[in-house]
Amino acid sequence: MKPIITAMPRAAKRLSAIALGLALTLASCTPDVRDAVPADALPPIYPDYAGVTVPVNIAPLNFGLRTDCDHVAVDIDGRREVLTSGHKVRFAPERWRRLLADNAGRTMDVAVYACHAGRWTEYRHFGLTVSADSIDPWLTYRLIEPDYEVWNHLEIRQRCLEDFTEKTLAHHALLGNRCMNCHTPASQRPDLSMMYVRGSGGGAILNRDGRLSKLNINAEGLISGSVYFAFSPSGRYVVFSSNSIIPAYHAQPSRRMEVYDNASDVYVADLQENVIICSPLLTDSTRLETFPVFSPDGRHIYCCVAQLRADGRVVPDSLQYDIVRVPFSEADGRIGTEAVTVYSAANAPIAGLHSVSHPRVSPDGRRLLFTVARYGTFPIWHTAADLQMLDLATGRVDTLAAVNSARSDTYHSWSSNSRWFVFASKRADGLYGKPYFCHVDSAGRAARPFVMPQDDPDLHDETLKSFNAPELATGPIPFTAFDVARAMELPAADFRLRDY
Amino acid sequence: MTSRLSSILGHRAWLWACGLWLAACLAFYVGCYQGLFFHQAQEQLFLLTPSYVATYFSAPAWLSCLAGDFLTQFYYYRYAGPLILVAALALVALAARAALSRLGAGRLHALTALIVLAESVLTLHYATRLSSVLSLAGGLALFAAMPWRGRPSLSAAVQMLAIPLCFWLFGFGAMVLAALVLADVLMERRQMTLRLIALALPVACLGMARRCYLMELGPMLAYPGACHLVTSPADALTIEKNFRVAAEYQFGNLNRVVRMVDADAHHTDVQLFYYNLAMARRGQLPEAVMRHMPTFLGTLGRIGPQTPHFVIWGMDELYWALGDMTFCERAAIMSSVFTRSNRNIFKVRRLAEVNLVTGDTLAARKYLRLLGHTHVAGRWADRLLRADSAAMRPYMAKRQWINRIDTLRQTDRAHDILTELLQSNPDNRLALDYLLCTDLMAKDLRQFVADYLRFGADAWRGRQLPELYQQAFCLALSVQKAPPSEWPHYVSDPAIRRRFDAYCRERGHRNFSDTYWYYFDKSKIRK
Repeated sequence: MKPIITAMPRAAKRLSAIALGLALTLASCTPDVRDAVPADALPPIYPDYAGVTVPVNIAPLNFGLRTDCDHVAVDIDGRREVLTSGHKVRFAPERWRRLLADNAGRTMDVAVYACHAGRWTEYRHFGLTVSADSIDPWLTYRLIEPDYEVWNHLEIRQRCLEDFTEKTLAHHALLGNRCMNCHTPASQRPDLSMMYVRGSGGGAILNRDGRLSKLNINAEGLISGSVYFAFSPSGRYVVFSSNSIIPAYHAQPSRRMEVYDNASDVYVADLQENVIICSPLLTDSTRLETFPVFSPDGRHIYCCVAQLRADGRVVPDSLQYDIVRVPFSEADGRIGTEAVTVYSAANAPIAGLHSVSHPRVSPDGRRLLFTVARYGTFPIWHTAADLQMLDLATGRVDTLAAVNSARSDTYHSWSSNSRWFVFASKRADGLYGKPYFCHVDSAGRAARPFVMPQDDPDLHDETLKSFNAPELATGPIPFTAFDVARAMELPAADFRLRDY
Repeated sequence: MTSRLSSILGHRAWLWACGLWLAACLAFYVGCYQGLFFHQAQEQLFLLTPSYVATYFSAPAWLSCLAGDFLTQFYYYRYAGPLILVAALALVALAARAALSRLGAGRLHALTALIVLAESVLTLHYATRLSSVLSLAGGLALFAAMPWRGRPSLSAAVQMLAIPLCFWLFGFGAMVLAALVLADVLMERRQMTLRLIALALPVACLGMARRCYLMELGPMLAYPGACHLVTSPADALTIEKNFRVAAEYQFGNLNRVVRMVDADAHHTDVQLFYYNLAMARRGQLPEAVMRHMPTFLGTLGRIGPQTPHFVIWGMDELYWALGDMTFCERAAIMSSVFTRSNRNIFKVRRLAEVNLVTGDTLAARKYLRLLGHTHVAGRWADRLLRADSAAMRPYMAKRQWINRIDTLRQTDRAHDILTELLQSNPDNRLALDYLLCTDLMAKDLRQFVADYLRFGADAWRGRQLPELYQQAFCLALSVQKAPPSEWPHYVSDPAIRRRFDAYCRERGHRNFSDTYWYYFDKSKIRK
């Protein structure tokens, strides 16, 4: 008689060997981690959530360990929250919600243990601060390859930050694979927002309470149709820039791509009367005006302005943009006559970072967040691009050392309570922008930011798209990708130019 | 006894016919269609991870697409693609026979043969994926497996469930299933109304899946691509030539590239592009560039969204060989972006390589981590993630060739790129040959002379210039009316001088069709 082990078919032998191996591994890595060897290093987790501040309503901060490990255990405030096989840590949603609610306003102690080859390692503990300030729970973004020069299969999506729900707002398959530009809500309101669908028959798709219409925000004499835009608080006006955009390439491989304007102006569109309002202050041919936004009270327009050289030639690496403020009256749609420089590139607090883009005023009107770069208007490819925050009352500029990274940090927007902002950062891999969230306390102190959590922590590693131009909203945007496709078939409402 | 024998014989005959056809397909794929398999292997980036596998549920036909794409990654290996595809066709044959015999169709073998033949023809199109073949097999097999005859009400219930299930698993296979069910209903003629309703309802309901899959109705029902037909065999073979030469180049088989193109009577631009590149890497571009006219260097045009994919792919190889990492990365991203699935394993690997060369470790590791989950590049990526010095060596060596000039260009004008590469590294012989040959193919003699004097004079100091350059100098010196004493500096071979004198007497004569002078006078510039 043959011994059982040799009489077994080959597949069965393999299965037995695997089962035995698993049993031995489990036995060698007992759930009891009291024998763990302390390591004088923070755990190699990705996303890196060590020392960050999170809102009380954020989805579970699932993460993975970028090291060889068979099991991971996580204790929070000394209590075992997760014990799992493999390298991924996923928190139970309900338990996570209770954990955050119970710890709002305090810093939790997080201990991560990893088991490899039968030995447990206890990494240095880190703090996770839970802010009682909630963040607006919905985020919209465009998924695009980081080249920006070409596109294929674009999507605009919205994601609930309180869980992992994701919905598509515009989809390439329903829009003939056209280019789409960033979806922007008015004052974080989901019921009023706008996005662009480019190409033949394209236009600005305006969402009012989920009813979509198509606008052609352009008129004879403008450099181009609207490019960068923002709503006024009432939602009646949209301030926009009209740009002639030039893409260019750096010979240096580390600097990759540059995009600059060789002409740009700023206008206001009255969505009620379908007129475009212009002002000599914002359409000066000796200057480049771009990135306009309204102040939260609607009484000012903020935008970036660069002086052209005397010979009118545009030299990209000498373009230095300031932030100026121009009065505006929502009552009669008039643009004021005097521009005030709010932030001058010449007085930049960090040497070398002399050009400003994307000014965004906090909804409470107290702070102005903007991007600084060496030059130009395309900080997304400038590794030195950083965020800075201006206190509008005191004029003090915070260089946000805790927030910025060695890679591009830009494209920011505020949460409606002015306590959080989101921005796109390339800090993880230098190429693909991801949304990071940053807490600003009542004194204006910014905390260490964290990347948007994913249900599967490997998703950030596996995606080959940038999360472009993230915008927060207080609720879900009430239209679908099919609504956008239908809106594209509508005739576009034309605008006429109202001269000053 | 006789009928049983004929049934067996018939069965055997069918098996033989089918086997012979599949063997013929295998021979054809191996002998004439290997390039397509390598191309299809590249047109995806299959990751064996839960989050990637989960993405298959966002479209119909998850099972056939998952199985198809999983197997397609092995197309990378020579002969694996033909074997897998022939196995899939055999599956179609078996499923078709089972489905048709279940249907009780007359001319069973002929119909089966027709289906296999049609599917074999469809596989000649480069866009026909393995998942399409599996979807067809799935639809046929599901029909064969359904409980059927004699119980119409049960059949109605089953088909109500089977059609959506089939669509979920096999995409357009559900349309095949629906067609077979309809044929069965019409042939059986029992409780026709009930069964027709039970057929129409689920088919109509499939339209609602648009909401879930975010697709137009037509493409959704045909997913993952029911019918891609080659327009003509000649076109298909031309595309295959391009696939094959690109594949051989990417595998590093430069000799095969050269042999393949030399042996071909009708060249495509893509073939000539890789031919020139292969010869340039051997240091023989001036000798080769006019061997197959009209030639295609790829440096006289510019790439953009409208550029054919083959050219963008090729330009990525050219920039890589030259050492311009900015445009190599750009071409690799564009190639990847315009791939069917938006991700191309070979180009993602190239992106990792570009960043290893430039020293952008963060970016390189992003791509390497991704490639670490693939079957084909996993081991390579793991070695580089561990910073294995042997694996890193070729990339460190390549670093010396990269562009160190800091300028801003609005276009990818090759002349600018090549001169900057030479400014950064005057020993870049590949860039020098491409620069001079580009000048010559553009018939810009003045630029040729200027570029030679700026970058080439040192490279050939004390050595004889390649024949092409000497011929070009004959023209340039003659145009400039240079004194005879100056000629020997550039035209050191008296035979070339004598032949040029002869050409001047018979300008444009076909006897000189192998010379640069003839090209200069008679040929059009190809961009």
